[in-house]
Amino acid sequence: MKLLRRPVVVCQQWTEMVTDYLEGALPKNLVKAIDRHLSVCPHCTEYLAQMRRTIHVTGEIPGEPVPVEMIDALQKAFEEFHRGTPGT
Amino acid sequence: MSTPTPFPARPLPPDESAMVERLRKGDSAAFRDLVTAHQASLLRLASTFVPSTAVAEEVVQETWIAVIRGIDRFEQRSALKTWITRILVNIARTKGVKERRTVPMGSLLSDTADNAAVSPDRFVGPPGRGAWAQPPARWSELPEEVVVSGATIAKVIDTVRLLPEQQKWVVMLRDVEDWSSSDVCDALGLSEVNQRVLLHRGRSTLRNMLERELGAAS
Repeated sequence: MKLLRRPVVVCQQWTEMVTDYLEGALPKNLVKAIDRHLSVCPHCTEYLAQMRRTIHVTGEIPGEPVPVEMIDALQKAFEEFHRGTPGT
Repeated sequence: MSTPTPFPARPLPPDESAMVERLRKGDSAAFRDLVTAHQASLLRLASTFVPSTAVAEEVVQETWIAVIRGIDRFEQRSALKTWITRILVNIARTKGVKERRTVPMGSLLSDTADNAAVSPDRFVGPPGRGAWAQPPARWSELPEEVVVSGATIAKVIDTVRLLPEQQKWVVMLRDVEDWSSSDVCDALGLSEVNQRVLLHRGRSTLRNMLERELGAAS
């Protein structure tokens, strides 16, 4: 009887649970059900690998170049503000 | 596999109160250090939300002016970085709205649409509980130089720009700036659950785009 109550996760459900899975936000029995599914479904295993790579690629967006004049101007603004309000 | 805990403890940032103290006293070298440390990522963040580099620079400029004026009121209940980013978020939101009146560049995807991570057409079986009929094109094992090429990154940037606003903030802060979920919730005023839903939608859209781009290459 106990076996029947084990949650079962199928492919389409998995594609909606993958983020919660990666975030560690799912209850243990669901994680186990997912792991059981992944062990027999190469497509869903590929899907997980793709999500991981998606996260990795997104993290490669480079920072914007910083013009040094911008930093100089901001430092100047800081100094002017503090000159204008002595004692603060 | 690595499953991060859902509520990671936030380590106290090193020596932040010392930095705040120096800023309050008008130490301009300290301010310069702070700007230098954050400028590239603030510009990257701002530029995904407004239509031009010039406006992005304005947003970042205004953010720092607000930091200069507001540092005395900063209560240090969050990290300095979170506080600065929250200011930037508010300024970028206001600006983004203003700019959009003249420049038609809202998002193409709706924040509210019940967009599935993968089109239901690709499954067979009971609705919501289908099995793959058209499985994901394999690309996860492509070499790094193919996946992380300049062309792919450019497409990722384009796709991020088209995400609905809330998804965009969450994806940018989590996956580009590498923030923890609790910092993101704090900066954006989101619940953990909401944050995960937004992250899920944003990442799923990006995965779909990458599958279209890279699936054919495999």
